[in-house]
Amino acid sequence: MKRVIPILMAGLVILMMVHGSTPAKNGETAEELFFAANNDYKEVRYDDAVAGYRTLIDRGYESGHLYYNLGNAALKLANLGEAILAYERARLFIPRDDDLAFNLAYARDRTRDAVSNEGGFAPVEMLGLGSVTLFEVFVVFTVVNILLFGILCIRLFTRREWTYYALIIAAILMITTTSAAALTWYANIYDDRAVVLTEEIAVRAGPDADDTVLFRLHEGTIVHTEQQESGWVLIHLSDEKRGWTEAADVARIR
Amino acid sequence: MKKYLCLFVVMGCLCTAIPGSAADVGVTINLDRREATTADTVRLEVSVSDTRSGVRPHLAGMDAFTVTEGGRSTRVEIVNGAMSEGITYTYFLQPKKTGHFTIGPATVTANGRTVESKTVSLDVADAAASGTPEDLIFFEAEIADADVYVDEQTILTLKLYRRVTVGELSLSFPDMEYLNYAQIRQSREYMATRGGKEYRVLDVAYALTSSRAGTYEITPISMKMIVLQQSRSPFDEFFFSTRSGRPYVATANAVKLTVHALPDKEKPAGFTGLVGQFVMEAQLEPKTVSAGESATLTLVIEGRGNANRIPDMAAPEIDGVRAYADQPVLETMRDEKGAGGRKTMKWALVPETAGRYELPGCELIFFDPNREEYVTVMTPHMVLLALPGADKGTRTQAASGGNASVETLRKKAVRQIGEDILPLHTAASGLVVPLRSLTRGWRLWTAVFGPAIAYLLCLVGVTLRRKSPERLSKVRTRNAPKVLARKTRAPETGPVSLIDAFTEYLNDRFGISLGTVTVNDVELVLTRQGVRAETVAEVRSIVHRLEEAVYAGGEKTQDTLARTLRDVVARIEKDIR
Repeated sequence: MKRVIPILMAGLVILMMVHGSTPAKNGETAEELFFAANNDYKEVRYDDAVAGYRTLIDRGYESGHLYYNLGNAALKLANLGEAILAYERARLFIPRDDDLAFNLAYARDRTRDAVSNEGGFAPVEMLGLGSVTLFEVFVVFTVVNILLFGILCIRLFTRREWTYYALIIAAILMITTTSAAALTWYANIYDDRAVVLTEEIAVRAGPDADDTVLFRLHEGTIVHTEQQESGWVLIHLSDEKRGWTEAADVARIR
Repeated sequence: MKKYLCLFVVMGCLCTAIPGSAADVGVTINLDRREATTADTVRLEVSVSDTRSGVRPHLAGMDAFTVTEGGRSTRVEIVNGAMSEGITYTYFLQPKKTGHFTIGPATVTANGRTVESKTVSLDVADAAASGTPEDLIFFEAEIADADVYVDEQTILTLKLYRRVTVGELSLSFPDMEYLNYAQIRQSREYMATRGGKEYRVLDVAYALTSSRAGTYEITPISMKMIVLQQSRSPFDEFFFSTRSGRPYVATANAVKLTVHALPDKEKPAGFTGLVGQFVMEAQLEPKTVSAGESATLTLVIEGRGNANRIPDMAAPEIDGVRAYADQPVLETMRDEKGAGGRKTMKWALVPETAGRYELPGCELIFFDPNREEYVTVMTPHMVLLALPGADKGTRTQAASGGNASVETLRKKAVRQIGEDILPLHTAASGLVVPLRSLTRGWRLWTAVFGPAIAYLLCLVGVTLRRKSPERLSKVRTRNAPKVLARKTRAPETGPVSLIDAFTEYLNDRFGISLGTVTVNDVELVLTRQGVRAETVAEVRSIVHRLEEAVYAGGEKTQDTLARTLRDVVARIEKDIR
């Protein structure tokens, strides 16, 4: 019994990891599509490259590098909004990538509206959790979770002194990682940021084309969305300017 | 009665103390001699009688004399009950010239009434002609160079020759615009012989400068003093041992000074009016520093002349070197040769980057009266070597061959000349997000709750296992000796309790269910369990003794039986193992 339980728990983790691997796809493999899109980009067929990357995304592939490449291709096509959207999505997966940081800054420099583009969940940014992904936090949480309950299981059979100290350390780690995971999770779930995709949008007082135009925004600007109805979305900026715009003109990052 | 008498006396005294009326005021003047020379000092006393108020007399006929006040004294006299009072003013008159002079009258105005004194006459003869020895005291002025340039200094030496004792010396110069006197040394005294006579000489020296061209006659330079005279009265000598003093003013000979303007020809543009002889030295310390650290450039200008006109030099302007100036320090100096000074200027030089910096020389222009030309002096060029240090962004390359010269490469800020995004990420692994599946679906819940559930399962399993009959039987078997030991150590344990405890031990230890232990049962059970025959015999013995104690009331103490029983059980445990 002492040997069976750790083996079972390790098997559980391995099983979950194996199930997370890339599934087989129809026709061209994902890798082939990815290389083809990259090749299109190199041969200055940016439209084709964008289409290739989008195909992969439509097929369910999501990764930081895929979004990063899509952002590059969109930027080459002067689609600033789509590029920033792709870069911001890439940040969810590879937040510490230097190339991404450079290209995103490059794209942000070309936006026309002087609004704050950060707008993330404040506690997450303050605790430095903005530089880690939800997956990374969750992996750490899982490891600590297994560690904690593993030690508890060991203590069912032996009460040696080291198990006591190991339990305390594991409990502290558990509290920390659980808090970090909860914050990161919350930041993901309630991230309401969206990117303006069209060259210029009019933000109106109500969800109707006849309503008064309150202000105008331009491609690439990041706004916060509140609610959506009848093809219109209520947005606000960091400085609390609020208004309605057509939902098709903006795209949520998450 | 006595009270009234005293009051009357006091009132009387007060009345007599009231000053006399103005009608009684009188003025008299008195000279201590009627004949004098230009070298003499005549004492004049003006007595104002019947007053103690501060009425000052006005003296006429004083134009020909140098008048020095000698103080005043108040006088009160009571003669035969009559009181008189007055003030005596003393003046010392020194004739300025020869001739017959009328001194007075002295005029006093009191209570609207003016009272005049009589006049007195004084004949003044030339001191030399009259044979009166002016050579008792005389004053000389001499100038080192009477032909100078503007702001050039020349030495004016003043010597007071005297054969009498003097005191309270006070020197005064004529108030002449553009001339400036500066004492260059302390006065000194020595003995000198003039005309075969020995004099005590007081010698002072001044640096004389003029700020404007022209010809100056410097006169009068005078020295006031009190000439002390030994009292001729043996009575005064004995009782007061005092000396009487008369003021005296010695006037020096006139001195001519010709001052030339500085030549306009070839006057350099940077000339600041500095006249004299000056030298300039520069020092850089250290000559090699790390970038960001400071070296000190010290510039010293020193010389004789109008040092107060030494200019403040500008900080050296060098690209890449910041200069911080200290407050310049000017020290003046005076000696036999005249006045001068030393000005020290310092700058902290901080090279911003590593490199070799040329410090330009500093230029000083002054007019040298000796050479009668403008002189320009320069400090040599210096080199400040800054090594990489505080500034990590710099690099220095030393020239090979042991040469002291160092070639440096100064880095420049990187200038961006183009803009573009960085390239694609092409690795196939970029499609996969490691462990991402952990955050989705059943894997998520498994990761969150799986360990807890596994632990709960373990907990339940362990708990159930602990409560199974087999487990309990094993526990009882393991704990049987301990239970027996505990029960046999309880106080007031009787033989019956000991037999019961032993019976329970056997049941728990060997998984049997004996009701009451007998010698034969014990022997049978222990032999089956492999207990040695000797131990079995001892068990038989202890059981037998217990039975005897129960049924026959044996003499053995219960403690002894209990201890023996525990020992026997210990041997059983040892044999079984």
